[in-house]
Amino acid sequence: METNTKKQELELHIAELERSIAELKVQLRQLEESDQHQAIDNLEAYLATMENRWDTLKDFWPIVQNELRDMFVKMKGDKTE
Amino acid sequence: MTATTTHSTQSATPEKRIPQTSTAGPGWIKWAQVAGLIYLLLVAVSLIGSGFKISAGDQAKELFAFASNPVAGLVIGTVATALIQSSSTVTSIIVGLVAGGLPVSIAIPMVMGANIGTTITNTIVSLGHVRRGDEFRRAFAAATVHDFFNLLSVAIFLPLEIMFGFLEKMGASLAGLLVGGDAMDVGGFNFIKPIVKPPVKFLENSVLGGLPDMATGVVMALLGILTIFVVITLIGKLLKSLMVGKAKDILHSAVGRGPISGITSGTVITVLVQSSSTTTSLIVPLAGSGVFSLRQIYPFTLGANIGTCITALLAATAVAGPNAIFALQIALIHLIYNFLGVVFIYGIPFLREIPLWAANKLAEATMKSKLYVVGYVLIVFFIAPLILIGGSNFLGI
Repeated sequence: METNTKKQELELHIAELERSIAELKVQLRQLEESDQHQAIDNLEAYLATMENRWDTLKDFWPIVQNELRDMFVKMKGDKTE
Repeated sequence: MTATTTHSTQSATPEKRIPQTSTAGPGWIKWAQVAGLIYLLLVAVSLIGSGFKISAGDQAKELFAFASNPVAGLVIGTVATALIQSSSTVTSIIVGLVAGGLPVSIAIPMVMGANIGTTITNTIVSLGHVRRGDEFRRAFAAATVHDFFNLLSVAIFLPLEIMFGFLEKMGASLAGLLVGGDAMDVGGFNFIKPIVKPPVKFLENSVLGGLPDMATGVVMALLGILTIFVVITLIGKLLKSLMVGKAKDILHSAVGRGPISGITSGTVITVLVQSSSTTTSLIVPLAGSGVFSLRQIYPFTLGANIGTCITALLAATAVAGPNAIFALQIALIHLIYNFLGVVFIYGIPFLREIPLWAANKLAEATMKSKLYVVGYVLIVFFIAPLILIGGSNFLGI
């Protein structure tokens, strides 16, 4: 009898927790969608960055140069060892 | 509580100012400019078709014999589009060439290649996030998921096309249905040809009349190609400014809905702005910010693949004469190929995950070294195409 009561309590508790989780998921989804709508409102800014593709490549190239330089330095270092 | 569609402007400040457009003006002027440019696009396609026909005569098939190797055709489409950065330009040119006598079977792999080549644009856009750690990882994955989808699509459909020619047959059936029986006039588009033909004829007979046929044809074709490039670039700029509000509305309406809505939204936005590069490049910063997950933006990029087919279909309306049906056929094949790619690859769960997995893996690698980015671009768009051509020639395909 006591076991059955305990079981029922646990089942009720689980059902409550599941309800709470479901509500939290809904709230999370709503927050995410709100952020998404806000990001969409900034679409013009993204269009602007798209126009500057060549600037993007010019910014990227020094990073590639540094990594190539580091790679060659490391390879030389490995050889001398 | 439902998410509202109007929000405060309190968000990450863009680092670059919105440039003053050189096409500023009341809306109706811009729409008139768009209409004028579309007319020029149709004239340009007609120029390519006529020019190619004049210069190549009956030798069109022999002229493009080097591209009869489907891998070579694929590579031509890929590299040309990667360099020009516009699949709409390349597919419109292909429509024009088919109108001039290029066999449809040779054009099909080129169209597939154009799908791959166009993805270089959003990859370049993603590089704008390179100094921002995780943001770059997300943005790069969002860009390359499109690449991997198109590569997978080619890997599946090109061998099937080589073996069975099913796309060519489907395109022919559909074109036949649309224009009806043996009639070579693209019936419903008769109103376009009378306004497109005069400038082409004027150029051919009056401006270039003194030149030999071959020279006339070559000049016309080159002029057509150059015009298409300029026109599509200008149309893209105009439509971007005209349609950005509409694009935002469509994106807002897709938030919180499923992938079908995402695919449809991507399609509609691409039709409106006449550029798949614009749509997929817009998605990159949205994903980079972390507000949209890779899985959420994936359907939008697929919709862009379908939406971009509208340009080739538009170009096909400019073609007159016996090759009109072939021009329509290749434009329809472009649409069928992209549609089937989305249906099969996105529709089959196992296939659907492959581009996502590949994009994530590559993006993670780039966090260790940006040289993976360089290696990826060089391999996919330049080195692998050369190796494939060499390999296929060696195997005698």
